[in-house]
Amino acid sequence: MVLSELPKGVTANIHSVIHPHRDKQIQLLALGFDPGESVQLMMKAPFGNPLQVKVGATLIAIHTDDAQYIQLCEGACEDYDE
Amino acid sequence: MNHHITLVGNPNTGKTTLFNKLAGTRQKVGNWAGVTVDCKTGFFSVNEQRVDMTDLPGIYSFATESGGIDEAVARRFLGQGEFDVIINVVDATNLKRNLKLTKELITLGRPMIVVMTMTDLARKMRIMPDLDALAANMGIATIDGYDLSVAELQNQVLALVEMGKDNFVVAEPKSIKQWLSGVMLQQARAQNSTELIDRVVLHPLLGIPIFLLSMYAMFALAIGLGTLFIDPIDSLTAYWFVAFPSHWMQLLGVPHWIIVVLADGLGGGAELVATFVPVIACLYLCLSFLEDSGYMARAAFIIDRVMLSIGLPGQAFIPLLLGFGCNVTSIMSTRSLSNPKQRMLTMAMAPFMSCSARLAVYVMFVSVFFRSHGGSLVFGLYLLGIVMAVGTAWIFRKQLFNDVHASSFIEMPHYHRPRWGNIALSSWHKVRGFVIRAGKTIVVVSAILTILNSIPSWHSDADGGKPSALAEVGQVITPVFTPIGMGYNNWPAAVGVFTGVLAKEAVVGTMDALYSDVVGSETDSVYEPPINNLQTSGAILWGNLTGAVSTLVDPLGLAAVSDAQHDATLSLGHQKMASLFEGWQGAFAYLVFVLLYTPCAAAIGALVKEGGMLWTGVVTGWSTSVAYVGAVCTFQVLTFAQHPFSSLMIMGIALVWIVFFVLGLKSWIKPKLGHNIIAVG
Repeated sequence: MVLSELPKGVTANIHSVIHPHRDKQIQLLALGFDPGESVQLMMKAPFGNPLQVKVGATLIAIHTDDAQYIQLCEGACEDYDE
Repeated sequence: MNHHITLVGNPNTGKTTLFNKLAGTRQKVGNWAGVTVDCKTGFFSVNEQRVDMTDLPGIYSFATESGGIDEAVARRFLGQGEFDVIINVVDATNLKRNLKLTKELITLGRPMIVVMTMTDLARKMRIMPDLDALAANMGIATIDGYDLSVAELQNQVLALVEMGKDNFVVAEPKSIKQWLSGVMLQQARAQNSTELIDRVVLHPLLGIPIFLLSMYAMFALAIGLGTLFIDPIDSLTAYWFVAFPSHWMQLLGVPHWIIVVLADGLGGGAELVATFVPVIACLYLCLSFLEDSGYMARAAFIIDRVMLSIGLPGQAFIPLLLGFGCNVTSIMSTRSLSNPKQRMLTMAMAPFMSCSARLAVYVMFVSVFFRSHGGSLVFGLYLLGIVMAVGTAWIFRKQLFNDVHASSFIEMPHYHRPRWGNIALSSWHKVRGFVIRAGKTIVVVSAILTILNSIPSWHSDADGGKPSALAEVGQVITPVFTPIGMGYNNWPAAVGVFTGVLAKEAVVGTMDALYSDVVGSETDSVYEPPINNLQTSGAILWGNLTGAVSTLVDPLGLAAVSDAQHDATLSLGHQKMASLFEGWQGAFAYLVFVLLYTPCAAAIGALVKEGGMLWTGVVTGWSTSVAYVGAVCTFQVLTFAQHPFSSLMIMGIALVWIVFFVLGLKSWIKPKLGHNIIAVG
């Protein structure tokens, strides 16, 4: 599953972030979208875009176009921590 | 002894609040070389030791070669190493993410101190880290920036800086997990107040009404409240900067031309800058409040999808909305856009938003030409401005910024009780920045126009000379405006175009004076003693304040349009005006021109400050071209039946110019943009 498909209120863990745009890939990692980190869909803006997600302790507004590149673990994730 | 420290941290960590706490008013804002990114420097002194501080822009990471302009500025500064100690500002409510930057900073191998911010929130949320344990784990001194008083904080920072300089040990590289072991002692609350507030504020149904209400409140406060102070300040500064000095210089026998240059030119320019101060101050207070409380990011979130349809992020909404009040506030508030290309795009759109000064011109024309359709005419003009702004965004994105992505990631900070001292201090510094930096341009532009307007014509009265040199210039260029329906004898309208660059509402005063043949009505005012002026200004202020309720209900002042429709008879001057324009078509084309043309002196000043000279040139050239071509097309289409062939010809030539301009953007301007505005690396 990818982040843009996550139902509202549900928490999942990030499997991987593979954004085709290099700048955005770096930005996402810097913002805390690390493999293994927990992510929760908090709110959707009017017309369903962007999404408010909580990554670790950070609230971030992200467009569905970008959220589709964030892969989530199905079920439990392996331990990703450094 | 002198020390130099630099503050580094993520955006939204309260870094600026910490900087303000340490520096107080001993700070100044400049630009990083060649870039429109604020460079804040300040200092504090303890026991005759001076600590200089440089505040870096908020960044998530500086190690990677890509990233935005802020990262580039930070990377360059940290690479040059002209500092003794790094103060790493860390948000206690978001420790893990903030420490990623700390890890990067360690690799620089420089002495470092961690200052925790937002610890009040962290305690409330029960996620306050054990600072001693964390400091021991990291091997970096860590202090709580919130709990300490100003003097204690300054003392502690100084002590740690000295210690760091004297015996510096490079911290061991460890993982963030190791750093955090044994640091979090409490069980975090399941839900924090930010998430609860967001449930209401970002609610699918409630979110939009709350957004509209807060935008209305901001507009009414920033524009409505600020406007109340314009007239009294204008009266006060017109006296002290213009009337008073020119009266005394006259008594002392100073030559007339010196009086014109000093009092009318420079004094008048300073007066113009001063009239913008109340609106700018109210704007910054509102913006700082929205930013500081955390709602700004939410407002951008709500409107994001709508703004995306014109290729801009949600943050561009507030600048454009403010444009309806005053384009200067609009341009100044583009700073809230983090991406410089989106910021420039928004700046190019802002002048097309019909500001309240232009409304005064519409009202005059409604009372002369459009008594029966005033409301729909004014509405149509506002709409045309919006369409032109959106069109500008579309064309500029295609020609100049095809690599700009509308979507970006916005961190939404925790809601925070506004820190009034911080809001007041940062607003004060921004207003000062406006007066000093934008003020220069405003004074120069307005001085040139005022001086031209004050010096007599080179023709004598007997030769049919005009009241001023500016009027002569107006007469000379009147033929240029023939295609927009301005008759050959309608030179007052051409002069109005010039004085309108001074301030858009000046079009009204100029035309009123010139059509009724009242020469120099403004400059020949009777000198009054200082005490009278103070009384007059006070009376105007009191009158405006008592009428404040109507301002809040109608912040745009649209009531004037319906008032104008009910005026009894036309004055002589207005009758003359009605006869000189080529019918209502010519009048309408002139209004289209006034709506779209060259930004006013103050807006140009703001553009120079925020976008640099090149961008000011592009925006000014673009709006003037669009205005001329738009007005030409309007007039020719409206009178098409009378002379279809020449109309087609003229419109064709006008449109060729626009096409030429648009192509020129890509081939001439685009290659230069990188060097002129956006710093690389």
